[in-house]
Amino acid sequence: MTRRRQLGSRAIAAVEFAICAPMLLILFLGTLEILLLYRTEAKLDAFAGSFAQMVSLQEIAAVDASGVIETHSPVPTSNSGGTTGLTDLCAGAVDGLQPFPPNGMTLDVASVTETAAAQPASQGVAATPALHDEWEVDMNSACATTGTQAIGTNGANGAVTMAVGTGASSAMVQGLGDNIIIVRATLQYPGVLGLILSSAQTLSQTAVARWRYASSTNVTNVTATPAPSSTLEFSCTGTGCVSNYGV
Amino acid sequence: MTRAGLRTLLREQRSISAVEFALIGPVLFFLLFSILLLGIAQFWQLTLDDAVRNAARAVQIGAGTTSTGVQSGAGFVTAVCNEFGQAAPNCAGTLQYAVQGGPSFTGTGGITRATLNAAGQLSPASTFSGITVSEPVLIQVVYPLPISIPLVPMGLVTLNGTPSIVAANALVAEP
Repeated sequence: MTRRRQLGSRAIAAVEFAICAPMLLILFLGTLEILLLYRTEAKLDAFAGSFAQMVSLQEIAAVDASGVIETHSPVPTSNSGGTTGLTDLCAGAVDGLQPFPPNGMTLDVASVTETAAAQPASQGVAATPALHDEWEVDMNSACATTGTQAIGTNGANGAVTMAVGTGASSAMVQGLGDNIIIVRATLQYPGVLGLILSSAQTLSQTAVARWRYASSTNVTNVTATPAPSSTLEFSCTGTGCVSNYGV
Repeated sequence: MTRAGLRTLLREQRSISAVEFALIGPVLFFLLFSILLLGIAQFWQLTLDDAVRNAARAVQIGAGTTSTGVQSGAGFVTAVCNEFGQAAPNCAGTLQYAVQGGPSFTGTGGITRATLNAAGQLSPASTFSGITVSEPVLIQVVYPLPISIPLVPMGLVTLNGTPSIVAANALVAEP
């Protein structure tokens, strides 16, 4: 009995370690996984936000005789004059995504508005005036344009519903000429387990931005009398434009 | 040693746990310190991300001067290290940066992205040029980790395959 107990006390630490080691390993991998997932989400969020901000500086708007913005021409896909094209901005944003590669990345940018003009037939609804996807460009991980998904149509996406909610005080598009940029970015996240399981989740982030009306040279018809009245209009003179946001 | 002596030694029970700990301890501490190193590296990573984002915003809005302020290489490093240096050692001495402006991100005349090699070195390592209003700007910052543990792949610790942590921002300078 005494002899058996003595033998049984051998290798106790080894057995204990054998029990603990898998837990430590799981702890190590779990720490990796959580950190990597958190950081990828944060980078993707910054990616969508910075792209929206970059697009918002590339305004090309047309105003009517009273200074009300009537249409927002699409930001061109390639560089044109003083305007940086969407594919170039996309390539820059991908550079900003470092050190993550743009695996499975998709980038959709839409300009959602309410205008007095008839809704384009391509939008499928003929209501006038109406909220609609004024223009939209979708890109893939190589920043090449792809087909048009329905990011900007009402109710197609939670963020869009939030942004264009009809007439509520929380809505970002409340009246004629109001216009927002919606950017939705997705990225494939393989994670630590993805190295073993060869599967990848798709992360998605949405960003919203107002047009900045930053460049007076990109605004046509710059005579505005009487002064604009609604909150998102702006007045222009021969030397430039003054926004009247919230005034 | 006689056969009898060897048998006695093999049957010896004293200090058995000390011997086992001497065998297992290094592995245990290796794992523990690996987890610790990973945590520190990623804490630095997040701090660097935030510091670079704030400095990038200062560059974007045209804050500071082009002589010693944030619109210069030295001023940019100071801006980043004022925040990041609180958490990480020798920030100003080891930080590598490429802040480049240009009429476009790609194509002829556009910004040429600085490259990061497998050793975690940015090339070119210190550039600050070409910031123009309304034009694209690409900011890349690299901080080589000052500590490592033998046998731990640093590419795994930094989660990017190199022994350095990396932060990057793309933006268009305010008009």
